[in-house]
Amino acid sequence: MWSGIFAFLMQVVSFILNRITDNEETKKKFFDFIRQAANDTKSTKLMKWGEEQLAYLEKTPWKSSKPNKPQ
Amino acid sequence: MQFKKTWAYLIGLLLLGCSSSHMPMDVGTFYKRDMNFKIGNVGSFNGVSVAPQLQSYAIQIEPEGDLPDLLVLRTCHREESFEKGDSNWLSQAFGKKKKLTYMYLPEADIEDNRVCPLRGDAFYTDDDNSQHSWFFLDFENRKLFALQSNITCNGKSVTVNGVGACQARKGLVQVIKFPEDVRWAPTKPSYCNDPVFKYGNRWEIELTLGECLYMAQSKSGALARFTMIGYEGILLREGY
Repeated sequence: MWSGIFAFLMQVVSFILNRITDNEETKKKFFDFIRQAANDTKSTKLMKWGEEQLAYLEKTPWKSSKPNKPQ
Repeated sequence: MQFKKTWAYLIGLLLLGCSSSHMPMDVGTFYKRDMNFKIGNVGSFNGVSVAPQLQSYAIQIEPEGDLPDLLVLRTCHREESFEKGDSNWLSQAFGKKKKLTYMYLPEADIEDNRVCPLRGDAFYTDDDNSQHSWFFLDFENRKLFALQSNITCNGKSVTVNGVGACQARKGLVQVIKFPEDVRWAPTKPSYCNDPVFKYGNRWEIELTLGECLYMAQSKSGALARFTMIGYEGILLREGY
């Protein structure tokens, strides 16, 4: 009977430790993602790329992008 | 005796079964944008979309799973964050799921006259049933981008009124058809795949990982732009 109880207690301890580890990992990942989001510059980049493309189209004479020979 | 031992093992196994079994997330992976949202009477969207030009937008955000611990909304001009418990979170009339209705009024001469989409990032501290999710919403701008086209994106064909957005797995080929001849501005960033001419006025773009911006111009000067988003991972949400 004692071996059964011991096995059960081991499982409970293992379960609790797993939950704690999982929680810590999840929280660490949460903050990793927050850090990534805080440093995210995609919005600014898209805006700048758009400005560069508009500037290119304004200053360059129109010429079709089609190649001379169909591919 | 043997009976009790068996029960002890069974209970233990059950407890282990209750431990986390969610899909692990990787910070370095570019995941598919798949957050659900609605715009007033315009319609329901998932992940990536373009809204028609309006004075203001009532955007109802419905992240997958539970209420996120943090929701960040960002444009080229503003960043707003909402935490669980904020009064902005509105309870849905039916069911327990909650939603956030965000009134977005583009700021004149900043958000309404350039490439300035709205992004949403939802984060969870406990992601047993819910995981981070994102959306990308661009806006039509008839004054600046008036060239119509047709885009076949990830199996769906839609008319583009000057501003288009397309999301699919990186490496997949998407199609853009114009009613007339066009020229392309240099693709941004430069490592993104260039549009490839096929025939008529049909162009194909093989998606690069992340976001790439494409701008086309007809001979009459009308412009169109496309944000092409190539993802490498999909999040599976258990129970949803």
